[in-house]
Amino acid sequence: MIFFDNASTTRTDESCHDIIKKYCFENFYNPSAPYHNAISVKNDIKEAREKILRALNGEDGRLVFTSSGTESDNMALFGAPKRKYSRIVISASEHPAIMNTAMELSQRGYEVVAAEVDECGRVIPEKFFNLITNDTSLISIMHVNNETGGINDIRKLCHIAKSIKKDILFHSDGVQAFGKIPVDVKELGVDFYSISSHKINAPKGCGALYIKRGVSVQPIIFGGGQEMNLRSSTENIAAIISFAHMAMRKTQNLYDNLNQIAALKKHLYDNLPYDERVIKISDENCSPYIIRLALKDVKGEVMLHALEKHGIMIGTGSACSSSKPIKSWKTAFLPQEYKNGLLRISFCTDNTIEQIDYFIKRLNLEYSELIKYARG
Amino acid sequence: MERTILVRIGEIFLKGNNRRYFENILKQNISENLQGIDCSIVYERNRIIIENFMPSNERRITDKLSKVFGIHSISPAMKTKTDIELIKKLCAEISPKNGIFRVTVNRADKSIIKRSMDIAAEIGAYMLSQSKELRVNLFEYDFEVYVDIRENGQTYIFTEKLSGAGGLPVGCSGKGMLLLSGGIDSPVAGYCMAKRGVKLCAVHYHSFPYTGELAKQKVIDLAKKLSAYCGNIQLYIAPFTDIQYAIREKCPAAYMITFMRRFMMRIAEKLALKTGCSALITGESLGQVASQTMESINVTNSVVKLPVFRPLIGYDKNEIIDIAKKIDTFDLSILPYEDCCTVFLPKNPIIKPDLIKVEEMEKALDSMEDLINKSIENVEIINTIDN
Repeated sequence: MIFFDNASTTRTDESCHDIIKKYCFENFYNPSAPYHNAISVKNDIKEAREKILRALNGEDGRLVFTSSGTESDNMALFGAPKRKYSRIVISASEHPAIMNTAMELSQRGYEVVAAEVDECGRVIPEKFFNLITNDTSLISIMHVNNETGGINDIRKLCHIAKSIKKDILFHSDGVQAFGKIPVDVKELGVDFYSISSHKINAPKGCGALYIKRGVSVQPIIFGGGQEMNLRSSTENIAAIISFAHMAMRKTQNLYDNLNQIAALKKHLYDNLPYDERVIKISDENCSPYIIRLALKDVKGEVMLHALEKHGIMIGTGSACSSSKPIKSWKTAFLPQEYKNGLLRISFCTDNTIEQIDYFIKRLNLEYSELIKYARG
Repeated sequence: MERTILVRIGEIFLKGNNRRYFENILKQNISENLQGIDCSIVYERNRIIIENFMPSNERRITDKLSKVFGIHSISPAMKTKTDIELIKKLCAEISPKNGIFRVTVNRADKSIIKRSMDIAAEIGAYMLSQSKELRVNLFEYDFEVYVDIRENGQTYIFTEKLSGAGGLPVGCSGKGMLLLSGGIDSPVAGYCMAKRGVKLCAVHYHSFPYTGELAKQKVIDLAKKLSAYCGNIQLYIAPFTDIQYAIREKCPAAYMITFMRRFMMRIAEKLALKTGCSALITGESLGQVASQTMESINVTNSVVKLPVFRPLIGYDKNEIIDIAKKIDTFDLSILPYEDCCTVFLPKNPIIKPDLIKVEEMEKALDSMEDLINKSIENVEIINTIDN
């Protein structure tokens, strides 16, 4: 089995096994309880929080554990202080977790505008700055695009946005960035930053929102007052501790991993046929973890199923939205014959050069088979 | 005194000497439908009584029964021994305390001397004495209290008659092979025929890799929805890609759908004969799409000998959608997964194919029999209800 859909989720690292076991069967206590064993779990969560803040280089800020990247995004957009009916700027290529949350805010009276992006989903800075008005209170731009790997220069966008209007709050969805490319929230200058556990080989069910020091936020979930009263719910301790564990590990090995993945991408690009059959959309500035290709005259979905037969799992669009009609930014620049042929290949450090060779071989074979019956 | 559910039998009434046959099938269907719920089922003349169930299951039972064809109406009722004083009290107890009402008594037990009308009047009078907010009007009323005095010394009291699904018990009209696509129409067609007593088998054509696991799962889920009405459906998933490739290679593109449908009919008929089905069922509605014009239907129909039932032929799309919503298949049907018909959809499909021409063109497909047999050999069989 070859898993090339690591942007949708990753396999939980074996090293999490003992952590999960420990916090499910031994230290299973409710961290809010007052006895010793529970307090020790509470301390473990505190330590996990500090680890992740350190990994983000945001130690003087706050970190709220949530259930997912999506929840973190929701918390940032709904919870950030903003004037009623003010303007919210997002990018046209945001993940549905931001896109649909912003749409909901627009239903509730906010003016939501989306900045134009290039073919890799990156905000075009000039067009973006023109959208920032005096009435703008919140901006949300993803760090790494989940479908192309396109990296937004969050530092530049954030600094210039704040120079246009000082009190603007800036959120970035860093779900595909954290643990994969260097992330330094201080340097980026963001007020909020969303991350997710299952994208970095920790279990599903945990996310976090970084909140810059001095920035206030309203909870969107109410109850027992956990997480500094910002996100009530009994903590998912096994996932939280695993998340922190993997965050540390990914940050420590960040450059080694990045080099390994970049080599995979290079190998893929070097060996994919250099002809009209496939367009390599993700360019050299994208995160090498995610690659978008477009096939000529063969549907992405059909290729996905054809490869599935041979044990290769890839993506088409984003797994959260692959059943929805493709939004225009994704294909606007593509010739008609390629518009339905989007593929997403996404790596993790378990992947090997041999897997890529097999993938390319299968892709070529399946392509030459499928193209025979392509729509004429 | 205990809670029971009265089930009245529908159209089977009309069936003179065959009545026993229909009733037995209905009984069988009801007991299958209620499998897994603790209760006992008592069969009487013209009706069926469900007893000995947990009160919390009452709603579940009536919901399930409302989907069994052959049932005319369903009434949750109180059962008590025939004692007028007791009956009066119960009537007052189970009825609303205000509004306009009438009491209807049916007295099968003729050992009771009072006439039905008098008993009704007596009960009504008692109820009026219990609440000042009640009034009687025999013709215009908010609710009706039914009192059914049986011959065995038991009386049933109830206030509501829920409509049953009507129709004939599934299985009494034989077995049919439904061509199930995953769209809106075919599940409705299956429902319509099941309502007339047809036991369903279904065939779905799968074009891997053009249609994926999700498209297949959608069809399985649709068949399961239908199962609530017609019991287990044996679903045959027939691989179709090679046939599509062959047509694509050898026949004009505009005729793609025409040929595909001829193949579908042939495979369906073969499967039907293999599984004891004596008819094919499709969701075709005249003129809805290119393959459903009179000419197209003629060309696809001509490859089979079994009768093809098309219960939706005269329905508008909106009417079909209404039924799909009622039987809860609509939301599934509109999930956007491709089905095999949309995979090689030509830009301009032929609307009025000519049978002689089509037969001539089809000669190019020399391996037709092999393709059909190969598809049938490789069918995947799925039962919608696990036994």
